Amino acid sequence: MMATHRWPHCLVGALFALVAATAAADHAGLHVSGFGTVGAVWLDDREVFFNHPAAPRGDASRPDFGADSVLGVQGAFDLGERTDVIVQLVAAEDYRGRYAPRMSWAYLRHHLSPRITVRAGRLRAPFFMLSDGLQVNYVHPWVRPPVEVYGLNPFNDAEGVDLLFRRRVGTVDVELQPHYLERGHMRFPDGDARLRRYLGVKVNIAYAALNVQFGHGAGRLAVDYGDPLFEFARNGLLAAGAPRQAARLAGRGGRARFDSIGFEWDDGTLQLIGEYARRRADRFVTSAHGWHLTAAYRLGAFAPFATLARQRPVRSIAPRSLGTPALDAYLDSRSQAQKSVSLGVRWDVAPGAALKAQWTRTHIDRDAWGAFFPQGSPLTGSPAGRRVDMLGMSLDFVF
Amino acid sequence: MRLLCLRIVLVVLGLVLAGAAAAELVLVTDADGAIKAVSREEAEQLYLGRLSALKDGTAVRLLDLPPGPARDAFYLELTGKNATQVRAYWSRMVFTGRARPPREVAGPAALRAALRSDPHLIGYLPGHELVPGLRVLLRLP
Repeated sequence: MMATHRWPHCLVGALFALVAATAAADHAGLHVSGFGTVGAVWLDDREVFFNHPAAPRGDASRPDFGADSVLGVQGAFDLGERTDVIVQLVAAEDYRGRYAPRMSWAYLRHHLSPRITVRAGRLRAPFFMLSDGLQVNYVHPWVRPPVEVYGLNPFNDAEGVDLLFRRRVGTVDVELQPHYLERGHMRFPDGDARLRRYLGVKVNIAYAALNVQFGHGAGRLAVDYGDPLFEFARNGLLAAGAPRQAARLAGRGGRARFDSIGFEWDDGTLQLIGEYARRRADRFVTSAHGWHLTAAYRLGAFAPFATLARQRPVRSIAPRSLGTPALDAYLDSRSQAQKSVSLGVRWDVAPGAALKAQWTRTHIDRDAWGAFFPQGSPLTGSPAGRRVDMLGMSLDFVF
Repeated sequence: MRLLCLRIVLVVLGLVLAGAAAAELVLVTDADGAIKAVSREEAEQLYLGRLSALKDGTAVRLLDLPPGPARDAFYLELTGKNATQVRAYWSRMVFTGRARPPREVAGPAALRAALRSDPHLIGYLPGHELVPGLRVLLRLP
């Protein structure tokens, strides 16, 4: 098993070689661009860590570079006047705590007409207003998009096909994006989740400084867990004679629906962003909804901003009335419910580079883990009910 | 005294107008190129990556000047977006796989040379960089 983990390091080298080749590449039908974030997070709570289900860090008080840092390189290879192949490699800390590059995109793009484009292959799953550029932190004001909304759907990419219809109606630009995702896959330390046969549509309407977006979709969900809390909860349910409830915790054949609506106003000085998203599943994961509201104000190269965000559960995976402490602890661990307020500033230090600092105070719901994970044993050090202050600093760049 | 004032006002006005004329930007292509005409709306849609060709199907490839006052003025005039907005906007377009950004050239001379090499290229120049052999598609403002 270990041996198979070594080869990604070669890929990291290849990634940087690709970056180095950027300048020369544009003349050979290959177009290379990239993005990245070097981010550090400090928490005032040594017993939890933030936002990524990787292996616990040694000491929570040290800055955590894993939560926000990412490097992506994208290549477009021309196959003709109207067709190209897009490949994107992204290195971010994964469920093993490693920065192994992952091929997040690999698709064929064909312009059927000047306003209609079809893409097929491994695509970015377009669940949210900003999901397309989700890891490209340079494009938005925050150190990271608000986790209360963007944590609702952790699938980043999926194999499928989508269509982009663009049309201008008067002075309004409309983009319609129907998509069919055959399968998406994500792994965490003790398990994985699969999205299958997801059919959705996204609509974007742009008028002057205003952008409005709607998204809806539904598909099948399968989840496998192997973490101690899960085993504890499932065995408890089986022992209590509730096999049907136990079967709701993990398995195949779940149904999930996802909706989002968002807006962005950007007149060059004032930037207002808001988004609401809702995830509904008939089993395996907590049904929940979340929103955020952000205001940013540009003063030359500086853009101070403030964000309010909230995620609430709508329906638990299994009823808490069953009364087993193990099940309750498990349900806590599968709920990201929390609220937060953030204050920060973005500083555009150079074309294509921004420095950011963001302070966030989070109140995690009493029966949830929020976007946090326990540093030690999940049975004794639950993040539930905590107030966590967090400072994030990052350098974002695009090239 | 009044006459003097009037003269000063006129001189200042003249300087301002001359400055405005110098700030004129032109959207150009090769005089023998495939692109005969581009409306202002098409130019805006092209430079925002919302169009990849003209409405009659003619392919268009875009050129950008390096970051600087001419480029910033072009985007502000054509799209209403300032330099920061344009960079964020184009990053989104590129990293959402929607469009490919204009190819950046080293300066006006490189831009003129590039236009001669490809009949489907368009680019923009400050008005005073205009030379014979280029077709003016649009004048801004």
